[in-house]
Amino acid sequence: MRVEILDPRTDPEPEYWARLRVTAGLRADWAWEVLAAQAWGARTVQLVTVLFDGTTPKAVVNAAWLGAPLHRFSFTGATSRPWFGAVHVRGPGSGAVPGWWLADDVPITALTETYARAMRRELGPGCLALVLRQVTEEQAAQAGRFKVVRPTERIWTFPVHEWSDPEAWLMSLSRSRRSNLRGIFRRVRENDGLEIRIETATTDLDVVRVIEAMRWNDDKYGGKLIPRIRVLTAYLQALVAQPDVHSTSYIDRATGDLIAFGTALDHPTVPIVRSWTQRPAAEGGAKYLYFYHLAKQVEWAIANGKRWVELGKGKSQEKQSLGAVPSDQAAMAVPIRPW
Amino acid sequence: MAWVRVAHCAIVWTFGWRALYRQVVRSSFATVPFYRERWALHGRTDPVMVAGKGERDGAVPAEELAGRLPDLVPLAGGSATPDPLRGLEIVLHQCARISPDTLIIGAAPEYHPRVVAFESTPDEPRGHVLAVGTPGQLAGVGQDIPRVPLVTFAERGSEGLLVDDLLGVLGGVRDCGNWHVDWPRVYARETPLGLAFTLLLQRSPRLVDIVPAGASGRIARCPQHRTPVIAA
Repeated sequence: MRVEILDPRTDPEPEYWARLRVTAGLRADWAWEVLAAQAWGARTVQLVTVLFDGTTPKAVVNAAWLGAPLHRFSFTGATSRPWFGAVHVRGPGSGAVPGWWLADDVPITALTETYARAMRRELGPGCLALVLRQVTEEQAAQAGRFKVVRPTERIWTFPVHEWSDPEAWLMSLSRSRRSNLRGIFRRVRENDGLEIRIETATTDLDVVRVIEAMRWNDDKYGGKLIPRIRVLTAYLQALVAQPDVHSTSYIDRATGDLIAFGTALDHPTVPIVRSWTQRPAAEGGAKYLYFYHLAKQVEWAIANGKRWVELGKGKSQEKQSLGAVPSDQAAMAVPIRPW
Repeated sequence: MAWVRVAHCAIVWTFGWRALYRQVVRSSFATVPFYRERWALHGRTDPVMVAGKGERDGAVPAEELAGRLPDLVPLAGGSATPDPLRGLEIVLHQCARISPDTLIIGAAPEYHPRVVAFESTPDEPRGHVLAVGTPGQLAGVGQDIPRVPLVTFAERGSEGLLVDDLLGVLGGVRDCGNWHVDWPRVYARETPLGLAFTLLLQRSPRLVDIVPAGASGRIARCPQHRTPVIAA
């Protein structure tokens, strides 16, 4: 297999990229300008690798090169040559989706062997391991003999294809959640002060306000040891400008303040509800908007004939009560043969 | 915290104004997304520090920062809101006679004990009074009250403090009649776009080589105080 390694920061978009995205069903976060903005904002080097069979792309991988020395609060030095480290395969800009796509006839060993060796050739003999995130159990079983597999947080998905209309979805929920949701719908309907703005491929989003809200969220969930990766204006602008990204802003009509913001990345069968951020309750935030937002996403997915809606990690109780189903995930580390 | 300021001035004197600026540039390139992207995008991966290299000598016009303030926060986090009166408490004391008994009308340092707003100015203020504000605000104050105008580059005359919405107070006219830069905290250099200012002590939002609108002139040394001034 031929291997092409690209750095989205400096390399131009390959001419096959648009076709590859359609074939592989890669969402808007894989658009080249979004990848470039993400790579500029990342602390480590981000590499996109395409594996070819002849001239046909058969696999694509997004990975970060975590080479020592790593710094918590600074970018990897422009001229630094890390001498040992690991390749961390994760979805661009999100840890809740796999960072690779394989054609149907390509086994996962293409990653642990062909890809791993290509990365070792590119990054030097210090590239010691490959870490894959969001691996399923079957995929982990197919990999070679030497590996470490550890379960990670489960991700949640709405089985939208099981519901014929929003009413069927509501009837599948528990009685208390159902009446709670109906109350929320009524509350939003009767709240004249709340403006809900749904935009697709927008270029005039007030990015600074959204990022301000996202930072409250970061401060709420961020750890002391490993900082949250901050979303940058260039990344958000590039993402919401994609034709298959829907952004929803909840705005207080009286003051013009942003109360909550969410994005959803479209896909023919499995769209993903990507980010959700809202003001703290003390500053005018409303917790019920999260349920309202998810309910609207379900209604939209049912109306557009989607099969699943991915929700990502965390908030298990809330997601379960809305009818989402969990799927087990694991992280797998594979050593890279140094010869 | 007076000793911190004294120690800082001593460091600047000892190791040089420019060395401190270079340290801020180095740290901004390593930790602030905006500068990382900007300085590296133009065909280079090292920060622009050498005069004459890079696009426009590395300077950023202030209007290009509109809507990008969150990207000026270093990776370690910090505020994204600039303070338009940053540095007032230091520069005002250098450029006007102020004692704790002075009644300041308008903009005053945070800790000053006697402050009134322009709207609630008493008709016959007693004691030592000083009015501080933009020329528009000062127009409504009595003619006999001493005043310190806060001017932008475009409004610069022969007195007052030089302010910018983004960078704060950059300097002011001292007793020698020259426009002094607040050099322990602000670095200034000449670029093809005009004078570019760097805040040496503000970590977030990080402002490096920013050119305010209409910032022309050159950097010289005051013959009396031996510190940097903005000439012409």
